[in-house]
Amino acid sequence: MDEAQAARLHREAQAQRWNVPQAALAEALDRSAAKAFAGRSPSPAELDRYLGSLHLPDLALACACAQGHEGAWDHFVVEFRPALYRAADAVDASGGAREVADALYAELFGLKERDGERRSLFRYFHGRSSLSTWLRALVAQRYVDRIREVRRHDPIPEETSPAALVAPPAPANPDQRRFAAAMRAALGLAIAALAPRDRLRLGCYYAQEMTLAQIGRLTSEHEATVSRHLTRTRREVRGAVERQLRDQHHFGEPEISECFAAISADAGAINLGDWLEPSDSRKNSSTDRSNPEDPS
Amino acid sequence: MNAKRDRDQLLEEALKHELRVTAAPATDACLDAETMAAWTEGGLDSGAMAMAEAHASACERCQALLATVARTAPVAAVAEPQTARLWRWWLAPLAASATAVTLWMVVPQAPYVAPPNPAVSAPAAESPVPVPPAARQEGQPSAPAAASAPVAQADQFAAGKERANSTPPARVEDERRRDAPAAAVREQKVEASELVTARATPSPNVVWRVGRAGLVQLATDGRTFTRLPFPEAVDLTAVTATDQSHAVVTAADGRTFQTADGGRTWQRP
Repeated sequence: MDEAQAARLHREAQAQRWNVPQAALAEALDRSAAKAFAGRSPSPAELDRYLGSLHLPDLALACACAQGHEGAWDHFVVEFRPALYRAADAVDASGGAREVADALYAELFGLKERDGERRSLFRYFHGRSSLSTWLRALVAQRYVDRIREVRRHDPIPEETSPAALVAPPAPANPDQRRFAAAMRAALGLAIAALAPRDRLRLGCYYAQEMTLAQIGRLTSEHEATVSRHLTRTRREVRGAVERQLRDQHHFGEPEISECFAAISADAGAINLGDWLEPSDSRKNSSTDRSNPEDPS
Repeated sequence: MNAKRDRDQLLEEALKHELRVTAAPATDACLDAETMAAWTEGGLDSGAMAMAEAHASACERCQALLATVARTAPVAAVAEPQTARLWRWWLAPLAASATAVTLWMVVPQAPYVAPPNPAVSAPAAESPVPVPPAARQEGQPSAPAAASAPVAQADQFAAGKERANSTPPARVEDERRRDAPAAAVREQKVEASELVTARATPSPNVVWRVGRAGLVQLATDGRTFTRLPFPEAVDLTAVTATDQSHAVVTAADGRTFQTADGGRTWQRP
């Protein structure tokens, strides 16, 4: 980024309002571009277009808050703290996410230090979204990770505990388990063979119970289009499952119907990783996203 | 036929519980909050978007995160496709004409009668908005149902064409029925706030508001909003302002516009 461009962006960001030096904003913009272009060098026009699309005033505010500018922090408290709490209440109406929001607030201020420097979470805001949307995403991320962490550490019930006793009884039909296993395998293959966007719609709709409108906002589609794609995808999945059961297991129509019935009686879960091509990062990493030191 | 329908229902049930994979630790490939926020606001380029979608499509944790972010979205920030808006442009004069013709046919041509003395007149109607009989029978809250009826009809009309050749999943219709009253209230809120999506308050009396279709409003007394001219009818998603003269608004497509004269003129930086 040349000097003139940095000065122009500094002006557009109204960074002087918070006394953010041009060099500090330029460094934040460089970090943002480095993340967006992920190691490749964009053309000057591409970089200019990208920088022009950023939420520059929000980025300047984040820079100022990260540097501990009192006026900027006051502005943030007045303008954004209510939004942070509204997001927390929307995530968990019982108030469970308020604690997450409070913890986040401390991290945004930067209570922890590394190498003698205050580490504010604002460093990880790159201006690709508005500050308020980033805050909502942060609350959601912390909350989801905390729930998953708690779920992972839930103790396995004792054999004599009520939780263990209410486990579903073993299927009466000896073939039922075989049918369920065949169905689960066929279903897993069928889902793994879908295009990513089809699989995303399916997961968001059935597993996450998002509404058609919410899915549509993610995929930039009208909800009627999402509905149509879901119908098509479900039809494709069903066709692929039936084909797999017929061709691989040599089942006839009665057995295929048994397979469909068996899977709903036999609780379990598909791990898509078993069928999808695993990436190196997924195989090797054990990064814990709930770690506040590594939020990006 | 029944067996076919049964399999569809069983498949839907299977998808519901089979897609919920057991909790696994997050990985380097998982989407961070910044990327998630950028995705939500359309701030990812096509390559980054494809990568994010490919990962999230197979990662229950990231899907859960997307769902949680979606649930915290402000109601007024709902995007609407161009086609639906076009239908409404056509529907507005059509509906007005139909109403005029209906009134002309139904209302008797009675001679003018002087209005009765307000002091002895009948009590005012419960709602100033006429409520369709169907809405009353179903026991829905009358005003929201009436206010949102044209909007809901427009959506259904636009959606109907796409649904014509396919049977939607069972939950699609269930969801529509279940969400109908809530959707009506949501739509009314959007109408009531003139589709405002963001605001900025640089001082106690100065408030800037932006919204869909190029809506920009300014209040300098903290209460009375004046609509300002804006060069394009684009959806505006964010606004920042330093005072009543200087503001920067961001459009849904990422472009920014700024004014230094209280919104009389706008420039692209």
